[in-house]
Amino acid sequence: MIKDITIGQYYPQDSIIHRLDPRIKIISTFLYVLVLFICDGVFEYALVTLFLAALIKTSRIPVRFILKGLKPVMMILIFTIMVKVLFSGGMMVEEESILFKKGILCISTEGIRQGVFLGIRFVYLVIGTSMLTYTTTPNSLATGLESVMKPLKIFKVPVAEAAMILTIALRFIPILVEEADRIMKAQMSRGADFEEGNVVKRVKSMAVILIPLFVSAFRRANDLAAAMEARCYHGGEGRTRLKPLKMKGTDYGAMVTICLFVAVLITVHIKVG
Amino acid sequence: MSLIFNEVEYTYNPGTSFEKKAVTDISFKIDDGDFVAIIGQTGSGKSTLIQMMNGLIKPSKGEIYYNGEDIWDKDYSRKKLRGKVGMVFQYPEHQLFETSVIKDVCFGPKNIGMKELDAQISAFEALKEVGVGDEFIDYSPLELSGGMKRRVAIAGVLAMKPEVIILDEPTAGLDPEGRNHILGLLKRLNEEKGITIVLVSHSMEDVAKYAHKVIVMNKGNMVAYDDTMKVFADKEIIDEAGLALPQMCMLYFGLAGKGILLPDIPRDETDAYKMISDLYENMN
Repeated sequence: MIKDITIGQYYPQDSIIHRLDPRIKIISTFLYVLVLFICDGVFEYALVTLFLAALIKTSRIPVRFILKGLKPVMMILIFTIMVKVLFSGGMMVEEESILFKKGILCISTEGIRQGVFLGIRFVYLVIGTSMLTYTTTPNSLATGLESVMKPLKIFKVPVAEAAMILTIALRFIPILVEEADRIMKAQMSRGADFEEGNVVKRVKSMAVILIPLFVSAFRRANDLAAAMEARCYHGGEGRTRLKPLKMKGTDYGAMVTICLFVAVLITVHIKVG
Repeated sequence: MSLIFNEVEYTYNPGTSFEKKAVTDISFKIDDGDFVAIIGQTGSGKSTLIQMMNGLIKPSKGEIYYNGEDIWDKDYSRKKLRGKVGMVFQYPEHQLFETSVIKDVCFGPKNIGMKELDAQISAFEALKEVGVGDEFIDYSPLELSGGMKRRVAIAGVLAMKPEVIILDEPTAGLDPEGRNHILGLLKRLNEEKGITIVLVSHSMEDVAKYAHKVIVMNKGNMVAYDDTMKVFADKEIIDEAGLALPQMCMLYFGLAGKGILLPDIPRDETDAYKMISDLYENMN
């Protein structure tokens, strides 16, 4: 049930991608998302597909696992594509591309084309960003983010604290999932039913999980705060790291690769478009 | 009535890289009115085993019968089963959620279809049984002390009037008084009400003192299931499972090594004291 959600989960594996500097991975993901939005046309999508395939191959994460991660967003995906395909009347479509029109319903080849590309873009967006979390431990992700966000310090953004908050939040997800599972089983043992009844009833029945879960989260937060204070945590100022981030040869290689990928894609976009 | 496991197996995350077999080919029968302890190291499959007993998780292989009925049959009501086979999880106080003690204890009975009044009566009886006084019934469960919370949580299961109660380390983290109270309660429920008790415990002393029978788990396998004292007499199995003998067994074997033979392995300190003083008097 709850444990089926793989988005944001780390997938332990020994690969070049896993060992990359988190900063490179974060910036690459950012660039990837940016160029994905300028993508248009078969040729450009083919390039992105190639890039993603190569990425997945080198990360040594099973394709089946990645596809499983798409399951939770399937509904949104189908919905957006349907909207695009069925109601293309609002868009600037040329008369000759319209196949069927009745009321607000309007199906056109242009609408179908855009719907399909939108779907692909959406799937690639989810897969691409998931690759970041699949291949990066929460801890190194937070370290990387802190480093990447450093320039924001000029605007008085508490970057170190934000990174700490993020680390703790990420760290607690699996713990709370496990806790929720246990509480759920305990309440099921007391005859609670989470599968039957209408929506209102089911939402109500969630309270018997959520209340103990919140109580437990607060208790854990208290314990953690005490443990941090006991070890003299005093905010981010002047904190150093046991393992400072350091760029290696492969990191520069990855950097060049992603820059090339972006450059090629933009060139193709300008030339073809 | 009885609870039967037939060649039961359970695998976590089958077909993924996280796949892990937790329990392998387990068959046993727990009789009505028995007091069975399950012992084994952390990760030996105890928790998985007990979660299958009231249908919380479905075995990957094999069947489980309660009173002769397959609990994973299509038209078998597992909700009713959970009313009959009560389960007290580790740190059960973490499941409390209601605004008052009495409401929380009523949650289970109402879920299995008891009327408001019957549920309240049942809750009162259960609270009395576990030793939570009337003055506490309107408290928020969160205001109570740790030991009291746990008693309330156990009462929440007891109020459903189960035929079998399964407890996962009910004494973990309690002070000696709290421990004795809960173990005494289990003994009383077993002897006076004939409720079958299944107890998961890491305390060999408690197991030796209270359980009639013991199941020993080792790496997902059931390596022994016999009368408590017969199991503890087999030092090899206990050692292999990574467990320790109860102190009284060590005393027995230690004395035997010195040529002093007690008539039997004593169950607890009082038992041992009696045996040794009898022996001493006979010698003089």
